[in-house]
Amino acid sequence: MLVVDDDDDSRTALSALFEHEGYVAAEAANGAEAVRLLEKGLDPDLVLTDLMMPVMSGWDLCEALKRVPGWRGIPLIVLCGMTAEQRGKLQVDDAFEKPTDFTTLLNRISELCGL
Amino acid sequence: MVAILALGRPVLVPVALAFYLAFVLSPLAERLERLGTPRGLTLGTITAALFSVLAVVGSVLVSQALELAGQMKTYAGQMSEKLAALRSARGGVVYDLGHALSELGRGLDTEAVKLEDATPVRVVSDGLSGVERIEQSVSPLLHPLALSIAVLAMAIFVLGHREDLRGRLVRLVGTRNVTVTTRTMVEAVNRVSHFLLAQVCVNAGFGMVIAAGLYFIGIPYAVLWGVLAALLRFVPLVGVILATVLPVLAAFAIFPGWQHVLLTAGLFLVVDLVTANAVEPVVLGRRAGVSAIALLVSAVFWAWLWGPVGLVLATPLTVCAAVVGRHVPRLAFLTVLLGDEPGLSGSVEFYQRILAGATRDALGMARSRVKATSLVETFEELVVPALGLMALDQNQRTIDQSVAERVVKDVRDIVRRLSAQTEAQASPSNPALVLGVPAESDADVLLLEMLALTLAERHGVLVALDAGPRTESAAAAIERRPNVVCVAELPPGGSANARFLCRRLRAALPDARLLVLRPEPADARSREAAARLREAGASDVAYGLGEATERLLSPSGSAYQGAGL
Repeated sequence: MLVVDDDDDSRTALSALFEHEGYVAAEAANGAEAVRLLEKGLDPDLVLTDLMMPVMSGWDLCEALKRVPGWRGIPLIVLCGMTAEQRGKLQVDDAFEKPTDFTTLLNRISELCGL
Repeated sequence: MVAILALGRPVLVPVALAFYLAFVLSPLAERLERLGTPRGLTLGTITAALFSVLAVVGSVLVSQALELAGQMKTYAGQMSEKLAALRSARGGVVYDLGHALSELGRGLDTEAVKLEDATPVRVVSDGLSGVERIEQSVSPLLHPLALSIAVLAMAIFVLGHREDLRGRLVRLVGTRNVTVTTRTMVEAVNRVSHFLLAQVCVNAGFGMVIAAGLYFIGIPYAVLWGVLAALLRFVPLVGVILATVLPVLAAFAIFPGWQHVLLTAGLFLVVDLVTANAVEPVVLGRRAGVSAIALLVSAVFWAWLWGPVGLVLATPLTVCAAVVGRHVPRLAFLTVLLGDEPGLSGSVEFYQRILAGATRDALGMARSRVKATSLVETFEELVVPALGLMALDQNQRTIDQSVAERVVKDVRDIVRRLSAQTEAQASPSNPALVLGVPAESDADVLLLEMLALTLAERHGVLVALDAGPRTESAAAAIERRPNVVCVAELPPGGSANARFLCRRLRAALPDARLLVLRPEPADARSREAAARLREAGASDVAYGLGEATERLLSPSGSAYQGAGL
């Protein structure tokens, strides 16, 4: 999965937790970096992103992912509170408030990945 | 560049001719050297042979040309008499045409009317001595003679130093990858040399046959016409027509009636047809690799730039440019512009026609391809790559969703028309049943439709689900409890959906055979994608429709026989 967060500590911690659970995690510090990785051929099963980031925000990243048909199938989880309307508009699969309950998040991830 | 070519004509023309000659002679030189002949002796032999041939042919040509010049007055008289006889046949088309033309000429030529009022002039001797007169009459011959000797000398020099020149050329192209550059340069030079030598041989043979034919018909100066025909055949498209005119005129002037005229014209026509359609394809290969339009444009360009010599050099120069373009990546545009390969590859042209709304043309292309190959090959080489191009354009946002939907709709229509053309052989007794699951889009459903048609040709049956959200597709597939599933996904793009479906289906149907169809070239990236798909539960990954059909119907897949959905 691809973890996108500008906060180095939370990003590294999330990646470490996912890897502990058996996932392979790639990291990006903002939306632009995530797009660059995808353009280079990274093919994640899920993207987990923060919304408030410099250079390219999570909002813009969500739009970019849904605009390209090749990336449209990648499930998207946002780590920030969102209304149902906002989620529908950005076609986000789920949104989790920070601090996040890791077990709930893991369950949702395995569901979205078909595990 | 054009200005340099035009201004440098006095220098560049002999250099181009010398290189042309060197290219033609290099295969002979290499063959002699391979037999163990020292370079000096090889060059000496070639020079002697060249001068001997030129001397013999030249002396015959000069004698025949001088004789022809002497007879010109007689022939002109005979021709006038013959034309007068034709004119006297009043009422005929020739008469009417001739009369109309002469009237027109009289009307236009106002200067001729004024001739009656012209002032008479007196010719006064120029006072030149005998030696000066000889010099004046010989000097026009000296320039071409000096030029010919210079060209021959330069050609022999180029031939003697060809490795050195090749080395310099390699250095000019780039020394970063000497091996590849050398190999491509050697190949390019060899191809051009062999082509030019073969062309010289074919045209020489053409000239000889023409000379022999004219001799048997009874046309005088057969050798002269034969040499002229051989030389003019280098001129693309109009050369042979030009070569035909003079012997036909000679036949018209010398012989009564039309028999010799028709025989002469017929000889040129037959020999040219046989040479162009039977000899050249065998000797030169199927083609020179240059398009007819490029030859025509090149002939006009070089004739404008360098005159008659440019016209003769047009074909070799165009072939050289096209071959060099094929081997030097930076000059690849030359091959695209001059080469005889289609401007677009089959699938690109097919996609381009659908994009342009010319579906009928695209259907025509697909039908021709089915006739020439098969339905499966047409799908794999034309239709599926075209869908891939569409997906790529979509990813790069060159086309929007509505255009993509129209392309898929048009392609589906073409696929259905093609399948109606080639009826599937039904074998309802014991068909292999496969459930097709599209990974995401309508294009994936179309892939499955094509796979169904491919399978049907081998008595297989594939039932495809409609496109929809992947969770719903997975649920619908699981509900049917199939033994064999084919998940189709059109690259480019990731395979997150296909992996999701594989995980879900594998979890619910542990014994089912799961094949993923992802039509793309088998490279490192696709192999990595295949590994991840297998990890997600796929039994196998196929990169094409034919491969998928084979896998689904292979002996290892015999469990599919009679399998239910």
